[in-house]
Amino acid sequence: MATEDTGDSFGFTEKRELPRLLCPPAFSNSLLEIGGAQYEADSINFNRNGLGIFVNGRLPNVDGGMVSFQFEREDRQLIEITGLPFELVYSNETEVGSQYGLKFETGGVSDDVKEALREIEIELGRQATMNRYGL
Amino acid sequence: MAESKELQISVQELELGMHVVRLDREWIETDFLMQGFVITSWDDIEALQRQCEYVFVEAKIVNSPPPPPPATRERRREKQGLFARVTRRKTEYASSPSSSASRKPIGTASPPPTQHKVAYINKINVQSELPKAENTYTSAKGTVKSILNGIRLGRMIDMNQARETVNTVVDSVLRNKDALAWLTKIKEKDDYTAEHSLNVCILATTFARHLGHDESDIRKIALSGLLHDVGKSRIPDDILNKEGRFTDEEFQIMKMHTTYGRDLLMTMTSEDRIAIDVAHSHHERVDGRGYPRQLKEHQIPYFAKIVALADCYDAITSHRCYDSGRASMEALDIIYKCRGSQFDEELALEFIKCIGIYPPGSIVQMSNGEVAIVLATDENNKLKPKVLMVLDAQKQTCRERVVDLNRNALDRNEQPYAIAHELANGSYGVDLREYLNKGLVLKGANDDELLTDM
Repeated sequence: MATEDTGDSFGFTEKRELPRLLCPPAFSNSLLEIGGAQYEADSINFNRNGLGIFVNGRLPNVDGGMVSFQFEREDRQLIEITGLPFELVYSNETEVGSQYGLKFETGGVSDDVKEALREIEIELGRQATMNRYGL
Repeated sequence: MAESKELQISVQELELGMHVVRLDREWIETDFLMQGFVITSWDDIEALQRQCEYVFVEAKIVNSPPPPPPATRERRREKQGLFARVTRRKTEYASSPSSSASRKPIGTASPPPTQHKVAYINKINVQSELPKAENTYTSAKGTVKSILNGIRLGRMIDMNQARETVNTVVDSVLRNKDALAWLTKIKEKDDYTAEHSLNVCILATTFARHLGHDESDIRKIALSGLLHDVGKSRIPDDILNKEGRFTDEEFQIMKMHTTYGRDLLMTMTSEDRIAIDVAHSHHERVDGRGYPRQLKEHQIPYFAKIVALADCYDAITSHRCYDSGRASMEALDIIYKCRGSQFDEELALEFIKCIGIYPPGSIVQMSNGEVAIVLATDENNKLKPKVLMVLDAQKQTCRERVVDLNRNALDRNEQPYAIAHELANGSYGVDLREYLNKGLVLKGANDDELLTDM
């Protein structure tokens, strides 16, 4: 899918090449490793290129780190990704919590990790319905 | 980094100015009306000494600073992906201890205090209410600014003025739930605190109506929403309006607004005192990791749980001095994912139902590429709202017309209209404020034709 450019009269431009898919309960929280310390975050939405997370409080001021998460497929197979490098490409730190966009740095990772990311995206896309929250 | 912790002390050691957060017994076993307060007189100390042996006061502790960024060489190895692994295994049950799959089942949150749900209907349509709502919004925003500026100048909060503002908001929402909600979608970068306070008031009022609260409770919730961030008027302007990232110290000062708000509202009359609890508790979390008191789920006032949802939704979707607001769906995703940890689970799901995936004022792209503004939602089918088509598939201005997606409307290619996704305000040059300034005029009683008054 091509990058979507949606104009910019309010400084907003959609930069994502792929839509982010809402992380269902089968997608674990994310564990971030930044500068030797670990931080747990709610996994909000995902595609093969990146992950949206939400943190109680905020993360240190860094440009990246490593992230780990798990996804359980409907056939109960657990895909566990650990130590995936990311670049912090978006942050919105507020009093209610902080929202971050992580872009996976897959240039140097093995093909089986890339394949697993694609597989999770396909599975989430298949599970996604018009009624996003099932209400 | 400084953070608040509870410190147990004997009642004989109490001093003026101490913030009592917990007693050695349940609050309901004592004469104290407030669950937590700052000691402002010797009477307070004597009352505590009469009824308790020891209490818990808020104390500041200093944590070691966060770890420094990784060494360059380590970060380089991380970026190369040398630590990245994937493993696969079969599970009997849902994954890891931290998995959200282990979340408690829906339906365990405390019931709302009202026993009888009120079913509200819109008394007039959104187009008829919109002009009145616009006046209400402009006037209310001015009042909130005046209240916040007054506090900065050392004036007391004019509660009559605040109540009058709340009444105009509640009256509008009771006449039609969509008109003021529409206006909350138009975000300005200036005056964030005033605009946010008003938006939270409107959203909390709309949510309270959705929950079926009676009018009296709705007015209390509205007032609590309007005043929830009043403590920010005690935050220095250079921090409040800072465009860059807060330092850790500044971030901690920002978090003090809950305690400042509680202190400012302490003079309220008894019927409004719930607003004090809300100002103090709207950043508490049901998992006990909120601030300033790390209250447990059952200790968080019900109205604070309602205002917390409206607060989060508006904070994420608002323009700040340092960032553009995000689309409604991003805020709803966060609320959905943080249900049961940050937010009351049942209330979070109800809030999402109340707002709807495509709330009024959303800019949406249709599956055929056309762009529309959502005018109103159908209670029974929120995926198929009534929309105003504004751009054609090539993103060129087109003749504006209303399409009711609930009536299975077809596009020019005889295909059913469907919404593909939401866009942020300003996308493709579609600016909600411009449409509002043009003045929406409805022609025809069946709402099928709507033109802008150019």
